[in-house]
Amino acid sequence: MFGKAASNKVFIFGLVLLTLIAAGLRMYGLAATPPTSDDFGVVASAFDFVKGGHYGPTMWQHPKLRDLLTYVAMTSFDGSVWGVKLVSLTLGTLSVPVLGLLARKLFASNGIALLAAFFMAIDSVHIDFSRQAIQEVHMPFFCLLAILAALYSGTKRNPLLLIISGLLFGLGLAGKWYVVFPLVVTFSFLTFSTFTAEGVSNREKCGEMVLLLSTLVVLPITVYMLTYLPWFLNRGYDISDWFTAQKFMAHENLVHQGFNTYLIENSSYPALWFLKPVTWADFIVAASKPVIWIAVSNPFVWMLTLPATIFLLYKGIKEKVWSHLFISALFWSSYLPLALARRPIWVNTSFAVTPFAFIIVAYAVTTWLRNTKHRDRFLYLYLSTVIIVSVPLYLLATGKGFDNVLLQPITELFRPMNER
Amino acid sequence: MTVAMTKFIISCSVVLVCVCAIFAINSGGVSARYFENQGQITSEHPTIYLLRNTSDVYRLWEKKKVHGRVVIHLGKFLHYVHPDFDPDYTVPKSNYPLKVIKPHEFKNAEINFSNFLWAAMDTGIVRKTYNVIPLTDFQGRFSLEKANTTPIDVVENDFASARIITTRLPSTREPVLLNLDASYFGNLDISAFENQLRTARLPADIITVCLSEDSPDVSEAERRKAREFVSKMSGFASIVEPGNRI
Repeated sequence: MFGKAASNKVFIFGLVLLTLIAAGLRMYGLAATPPTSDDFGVVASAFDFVKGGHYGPTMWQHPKLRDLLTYVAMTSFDGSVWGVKLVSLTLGTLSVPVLGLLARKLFASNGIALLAAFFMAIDSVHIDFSRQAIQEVHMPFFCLLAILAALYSGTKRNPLLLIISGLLFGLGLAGKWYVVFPLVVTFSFLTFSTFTAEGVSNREKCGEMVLLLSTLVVLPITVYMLTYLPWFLNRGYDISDWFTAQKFMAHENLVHQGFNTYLIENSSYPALWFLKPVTWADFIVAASKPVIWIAVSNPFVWMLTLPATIFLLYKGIKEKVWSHLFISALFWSSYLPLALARRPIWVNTSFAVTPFAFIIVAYAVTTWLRNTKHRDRFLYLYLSTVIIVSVPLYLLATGKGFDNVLLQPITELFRPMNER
Repeated sequence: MTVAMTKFIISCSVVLVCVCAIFAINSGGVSARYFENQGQITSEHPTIYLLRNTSDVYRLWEKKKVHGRVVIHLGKFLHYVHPDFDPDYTVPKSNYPLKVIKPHEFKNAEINFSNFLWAAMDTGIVRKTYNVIPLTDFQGRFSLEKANTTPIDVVENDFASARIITTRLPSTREPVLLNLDASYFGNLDISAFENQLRTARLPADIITVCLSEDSPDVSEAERRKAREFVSKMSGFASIVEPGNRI
């Protein structure tokens, strides 16, 4: 009991510490860094949508939660850096403890939870996008929290937690559509566990099924639809117009090639995300010199993903552990549609997958170390390596690479072809 | 009350709230539309506005304060050229604090034959457009073979707002803004067209015939035919010629 209480205190302390580290890394020097071109577009889009019901100009083919949240932040903080980036900063930072809590719920292990949270806290790709106004880090927060709420609803199917989960999934969907994959997986697993529960009457099972359908299907769709309220009220659209607009958005998402030619030069093959370091680059000219943000995946975390998922799936099937199978399904259902997509998909979309990847890699590392003789030494060596590699990646992600004599040659690799 | 019954009631409550919310959002959207003589669908004795310039059509709609409407525009051209300026909220590139600049107010000269439908969509007068184009022009525009007379619609969108380019009059129950541009009358059989229009019984609360005198792409012959059509319609319709620019 004391051991568990102490362990819980250590876990909470560790999670809070990681959250503060995540916050610090995401906020450091942000006010002194110029806005990206996407930041300008996001602010304009937010006002266009909320006040005029217009889609666009930035990423019109994606849902509109970003516009609503950015508008609220801008009207609260004017045009300051907080008005522009508060939403991403907050949701990106809070994703870290939520990820840790989810990992702990799945594996009942504080070590796995803290390691997964650590991976996200220092991940330079997540840091880069937490410092931008675009919506990439919004979805993981809502999605992870929704899954957590659904899992905590437990075998008794606590209706309130399921309603909260449905609301959160709806908000996640209203960030980007790929949240539908974890939603389907979560719904399927809860349904499966409902029907295979022992000692429960058919009547109760039917009642639980109806509850799952209402909270994890009807409710998220409704929340998603409600985020289009300014569009309906400002422009006179109705539900049939809305379905038509969704079709247009879906078509654009199927064929989208980016909004500028430079995007084609960025990594755009999800099949390579976990096979080699992948990158995303933004740049702007400020005070007569370029500022270049380059997000690079940490190879000592990302490149362990595929072996780790295979290992996890193997253990899950062999030992019939539902949590292993659940997290495997979350990962593969989110990754495969992207990996098999025929159009370019850039690293910013990796947040559909990487939270699950971090949990799985954390599981694999701790499981392997558990059976290793000098596990503490290996753990410190591994963590040190991850941290050391993440330092230059952090400088690149925060736009400090160009001014660094060692990193500038790397930033030059991302100079547009037509400028070389 | 059993646990199963409790969960069933909660589920039904959630679904009911969701259905009410969806119904409310739909009603909210529909109520944001503004019609001329709201509630009246006039097709028996319509009023037809005979206008000289395409910009007059926009200004008439603006004056009538119509909003969130569907427009059916009959004419050869799409009138959907985007201007060089950004009409919506913009954020000039600068350091913090960012400033959000309000939308551009269209000056008279900025609405013209090349863009009046785009302007109507951008300002919210219109939420959906139908461009009904003569068949030969449609075939030429989309490089179709002349023998191919199968009706097809080309469905475009402007930031998810539908724009349909077709050769057929659409059917609709909602009152529309019906604009007949002089360019449509080129090779038209006026009597047959009048019959077609009356048979279609399009509910339209504002009907305009535009002579497009501001467009260099419309010929005098087409304008004469447009006037001829209006003259034929005057037998049962009230013709309003605002005369001066609106």
